[in-house]
Amino acid sequence: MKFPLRNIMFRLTLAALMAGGTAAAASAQEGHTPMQTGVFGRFRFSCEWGYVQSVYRDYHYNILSEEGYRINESYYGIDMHPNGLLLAGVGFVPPGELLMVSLHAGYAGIHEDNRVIPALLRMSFFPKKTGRDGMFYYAQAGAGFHMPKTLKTRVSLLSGIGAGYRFALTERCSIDLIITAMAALSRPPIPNPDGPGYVAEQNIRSNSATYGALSLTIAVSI
Amino acid sequence: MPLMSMCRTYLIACLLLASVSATAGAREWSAGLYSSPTGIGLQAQLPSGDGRETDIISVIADTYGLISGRTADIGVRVGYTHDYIISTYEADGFTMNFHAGAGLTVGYVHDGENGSILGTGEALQKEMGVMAALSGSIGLRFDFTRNAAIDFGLSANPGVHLRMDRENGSMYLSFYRNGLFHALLPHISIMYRF
Repeated sequence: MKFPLRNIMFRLTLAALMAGGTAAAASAQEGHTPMQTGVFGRFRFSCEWGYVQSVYRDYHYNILSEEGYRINESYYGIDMHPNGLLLAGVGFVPPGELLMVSLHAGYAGIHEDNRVIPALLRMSFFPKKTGRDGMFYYAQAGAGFHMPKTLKTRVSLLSGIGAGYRFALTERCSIDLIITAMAALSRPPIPNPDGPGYVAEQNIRSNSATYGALSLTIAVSI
Repeated sequence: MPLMSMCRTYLIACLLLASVSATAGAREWSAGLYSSPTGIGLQAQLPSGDGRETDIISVIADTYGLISGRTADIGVRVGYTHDYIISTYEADGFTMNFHAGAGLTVGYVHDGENGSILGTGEALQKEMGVMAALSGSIGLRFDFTRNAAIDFGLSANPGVHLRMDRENGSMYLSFYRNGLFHALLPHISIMYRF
C-alpha cells in the first residue's frame, strides 16, 4: 500500500486544524480564555488621582550668591502646601489573591514649584482578597524624575504607606478610596536671594530637602 | 381569628409591593464626582423614561493654570448636555452605553494663554472672564450591578470669553480657546445610581 507524501501532509494538516478547533470550542464552552485563567488574567491596570497636602518640610542649602558671598540656610517645621497626584499602574496578583505587586508612574507635585514624574513600586495586602469589598494596606517606594528645565534631570526619592477601602464592582473592576502618608527626599530649586528666578546650578554647593505629606486619592482598577 | 390576621398580613404585603413598584417605575438618576485635568466637580445624569436619552448636568471648579502653578484662581463652569444612547453592550456584571449629544456651558474662568496645560511658564497674565459656549460631548458609560456607574468622556466647548483688563479698564471679547484646546483631555465621572 502506497502513502504519497502529499496525502500524508494533507492529513497531518487536517488533523492539526481539527485538534485546534476542538480545543477552541471546548474553551469557549467552558467560558474561559487563556487571558482570564492564565498569567495574563492576573494583571491589573489602574488609574489613581487625588489631592496631596504637604504638611512638613525641612531643608538645608549652601549656595554662592551672585555677589560672591556664601549663604547657608536651613529650616524645619510645619509647612502647608497643596499639590496634586496622578498615577497609572500595572499590577500583578499572585495566586491566593491576597497580595498585589504593582508599578505606578504619572505626575506629581512636591511642595512649591517642584514637579516630578514618579516611578513607584507598591506592595499591597488585601485581607479579604483583591476581588472583594474590604480594606487594603500598602507600602511603596521609588524615584521621582524632575520635569527637566535643563538637560540635567534630578532625581528625588519617594516613599509612602497607605490604607484604602475597595468597592468591588465586578471580579476585576473596582473603585478604591485611598489615604497615604508620603515622604520625599528632594533637591528643590532655590529662590535667588538677589533677584527673580532661581539659583543657578553651578552656584549650589549643597541642597537637600525632606517633605512629608498626606494624600487622599481615588483609583479605578480593572 | 387566624383568617383576619392572614388577610391583614396579605394587605400589608400588597401595599408594600405597590409602593416599591411605584418607586421602581421612577427614572433612575445618578450623581457623583467629575474629575478631569481641566477641573473637578459634580455631575448628575438623568435618563429618559425609555433609557435612550439622558440629561447631563455638570458643576465644575475650573483648575486651568492651578496644577501648573501659574495661578491661584479657581474658576467655575456649569454645563448641560442632552445625550443620546447610540449603542449598548451588555456583559456579565456591567452594561456599557456609548452616548453623544450637545448642549451649552457657561462659567467664570481663565482662558488659555501661551504654554501647555502642564507648562510651568510665567504666571497667567489675563484676568478671569465670563465664558459662554456650546457643548458637544461623547462618552462611554459603564453601569455595574452594584448601583455604581463610571463614565469616560470628551467634550468640546466652542464659545466666547469676555474679560476686563484691569490696567486700562477695557473689555475684551475673544474666542474661548480652552474650549477647543481641552477637547482631547478626558474626564471620568464616578457616580452612584439612585
